[in-house]
Amino acid sequence: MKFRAERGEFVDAVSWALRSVGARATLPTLSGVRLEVRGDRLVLSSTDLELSSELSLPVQGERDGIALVPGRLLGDVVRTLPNAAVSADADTDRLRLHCGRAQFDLRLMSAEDFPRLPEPSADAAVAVLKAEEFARTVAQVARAASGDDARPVLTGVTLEATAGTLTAAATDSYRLAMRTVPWDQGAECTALVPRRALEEARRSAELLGSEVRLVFEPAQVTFAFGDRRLTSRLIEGTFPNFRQLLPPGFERRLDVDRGELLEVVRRVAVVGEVNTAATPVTLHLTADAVRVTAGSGEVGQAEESLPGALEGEPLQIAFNPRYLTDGLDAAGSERVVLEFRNELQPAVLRPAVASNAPGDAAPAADFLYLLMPVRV
Amino acid sequence: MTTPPTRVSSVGVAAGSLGCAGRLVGGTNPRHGRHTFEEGPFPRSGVQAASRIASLPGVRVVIARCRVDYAGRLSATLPSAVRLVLVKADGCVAVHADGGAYKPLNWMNAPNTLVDEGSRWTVTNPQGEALTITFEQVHVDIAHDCGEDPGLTKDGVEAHLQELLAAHPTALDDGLTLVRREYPTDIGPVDLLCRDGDGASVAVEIKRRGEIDGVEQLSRYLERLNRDPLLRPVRGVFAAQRIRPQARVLAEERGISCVEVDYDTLRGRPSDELRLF
Repeated sequence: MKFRAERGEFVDAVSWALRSVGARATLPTLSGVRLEVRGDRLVLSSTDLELSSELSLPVQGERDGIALVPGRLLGDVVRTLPNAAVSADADTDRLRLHCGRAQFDLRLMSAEDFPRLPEPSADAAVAVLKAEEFARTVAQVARAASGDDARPVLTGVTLEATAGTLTAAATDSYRLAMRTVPWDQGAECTALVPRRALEEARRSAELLGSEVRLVFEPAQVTFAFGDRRLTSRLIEGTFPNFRQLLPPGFERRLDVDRGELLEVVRRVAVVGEVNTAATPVTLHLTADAVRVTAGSGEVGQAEESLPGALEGEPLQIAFNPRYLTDGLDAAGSERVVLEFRNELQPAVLRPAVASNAPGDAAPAADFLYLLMPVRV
Repeated sequence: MTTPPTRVSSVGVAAGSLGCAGRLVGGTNPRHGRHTFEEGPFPRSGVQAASRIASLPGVRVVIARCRVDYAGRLSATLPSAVRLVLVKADGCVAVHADGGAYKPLNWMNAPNTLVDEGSRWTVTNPQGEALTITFEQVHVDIAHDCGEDPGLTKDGVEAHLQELLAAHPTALDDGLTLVRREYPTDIGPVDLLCRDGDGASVAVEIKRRGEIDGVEQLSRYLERLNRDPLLRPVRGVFAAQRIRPQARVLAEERGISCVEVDYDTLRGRPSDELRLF
């Protein structure tokens, strides 16, 4: 295998491929990045058996062939390369890299043991989303997925495609984030995607822009960005029926400035952070103000008020501050609407559609964050 | 001593001056070891050496300004300060400061020999280690018989988890029914033997904390149980309140399924946490 590539493109490609390099010591071959020259294309691939990445790069190919290079070492090497074209020449057990006056001679791993990467089948359901829209959806929703492997289905984000819309939802049983976006091509399918895979796809979407092609298959999903592709296995199991969790109505509705409430909650919650278990923040809602308090006897107390328009009876309700700030952060709008029934039932947070009068703000339909209160 | 000690009478203990005679007999090293305590009667006053050996009827608590010197594997000195000195009925001697949580500044685990010379105690053990406590001013000196120790009752122990899971095997897997608790194998009993909905045998190992050792143990049982033509194929379920990721990886690699169980839910005590589902 022999090729010559632009330094910037090669460094970028290696860095991208390193995202799915496996760290398991039991399968050393997964710690490698596979380089394959086919004509004037260099294909880089890596996998940790859950997430696989593959990208194709135009190079000046001189000899076709395959090499499996230790991933971390290759990454460290390419990051330090001087600004000059890179030429690589691999024989059976060595890769020689030349860049300017720098030369590296890297030992190769056995490419025969490298697993065959899954490829999307031609007849699978495909849909296209704008990269920006996709990245925003994942950023809003994936944060609600659980980090606890005890219930694997909750560590994923469910993607539900129907004619015309794609709904992404995640829940860790304390909160639920859900967003519906218009769907360019109406394939009907459902996939439960590991959060990590979606976060990687989001980063790629933010980095590369343009469009994301989603290819849904029974056991895997592929996110394709031009010459790059990320394939993730799906989580087995049934995702909870999240739509039935949405409360049918509300008794109180608060319209408040999102940034201001976010800032106040973050500030007030500081007095609780000494404890390992999150100390709840309590919202004291009255007709025209929200008083936020937090604290414990051991650490101290904090409180701050901000304006907010409440429809309905005053209410005192407590939340885990991290979950509340996650929701406020995800909403992204200038103002948010919070709907409550009582202090023990879930609250619904939605971005408010811009309106002239703050009290008249109507909730936007596409993003919703359901948050369970904390008993105090 | 410049202040008379506080006197508190207790069963079999005449709390007296530090001039009591006492012996804590035997010993290993000051950090590890077993202890027996033998001591003489507490004389009313004076400095006397141990003269008679008897069982200390309770714990003795002394709060005093004292200096402590340890000589053994190394030499260490606690300079003069007010400290809490505990002599437990089992013979352990511990010197505490007013801080540092549960941990003493210096201690001698039983068996020890305590020679009480009034203003000075010398605690020695057979390894030749010696703790010398020199009292300058005694503020409190009390003894009390704590009676028999019923021991620590732990909640959520494996036995109780086993009992609860035996009563509710479906908490582990749908359709599971119990065949027997403590099902014997020639290398020891497996916690539960169950049958699944298809009638296949399922061996369940229950731990409070699921670690690699538990997976290894279950693997050994499975290997044995699968030799029995009446049972095989037997699959394994590893159940614990929390399963460490390493144990989970190993279990899954061996085809053993992992189930984390909620102790409170099993006991029918719903968690105080509010959840969406």
